[in-house]
Amino acid sequence: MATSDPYLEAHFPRLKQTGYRLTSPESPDYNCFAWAAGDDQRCWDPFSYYWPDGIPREHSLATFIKVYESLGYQICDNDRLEVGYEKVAIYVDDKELPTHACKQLDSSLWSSKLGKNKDIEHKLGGLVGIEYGKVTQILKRSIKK
Amino acid sequence: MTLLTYDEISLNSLGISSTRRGSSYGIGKEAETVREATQKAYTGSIMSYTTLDSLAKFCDLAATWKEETNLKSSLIEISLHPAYQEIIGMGKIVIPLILQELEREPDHWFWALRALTGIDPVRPSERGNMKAMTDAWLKWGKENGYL
Repeated sequence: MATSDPYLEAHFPRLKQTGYRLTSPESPDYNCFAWAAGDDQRCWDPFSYYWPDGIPREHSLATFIKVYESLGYQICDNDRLEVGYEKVAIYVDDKELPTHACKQLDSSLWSSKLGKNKDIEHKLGGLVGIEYGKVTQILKRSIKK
Repeated sequence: MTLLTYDEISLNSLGISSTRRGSSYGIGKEAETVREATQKAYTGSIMSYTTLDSLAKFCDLAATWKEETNLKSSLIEISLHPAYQEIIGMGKIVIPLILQELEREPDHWFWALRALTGIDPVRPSERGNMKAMTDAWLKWGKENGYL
């Protein structure tokens, strides 16, 4: 697999500066919200796609938080690596609507599925910008043994 | 009505741009791929100017949509893209074009198909499974004469 991707670097100008690694080929089979939840077989979305039972089918930060809370995550105030916990981060646009989610790895880096494009490992700030907006919420849950 | 074979008028002559942002980042591949696949599918077909025009417009809009939503995960962002909405606005003439494109490359066409047909052949348990959703729509398309 290639070690860099000019297309991604063009869309996420901070990636090259903060560092990243390509970890999968492109795939339309799952999206970032699914990937952050540990599912690489489906797309998750309130409209038309898989959506956990009992969560309102609306595109808002509150409902995306509810989705991850339904998986055992709780709101957290930092993005640091914490022993015994795994974390997800939600990005929002300037209307505070969710655009992206990713999950933290043991290395303290984050793993993202970029739309229909590739998976990458990166720092949270690497994807901040016009495409995904800013990180607005971190959630964490205890790692199941 | 004047009928032509697809070979007689290429999409180029209808003003299709094969790349919107150039190919330096590989983005233009989407447009090129959609166009080549459509050319292959329709070569030798007999169709009217109106159909050819719709085909050319669909190819251009689909390529733009694919390029500009490649990194998006939110179905709202993907489906409210202006090119996608314009495809829906073209009406039922694009149903077979969408199904053929879906067959070539699974993508987020389900919202448009639902809007255009008023039905949803996907079982609730299949939602989010792109292959199962694609198969359900292709089966529906064959059963209803669109493929």
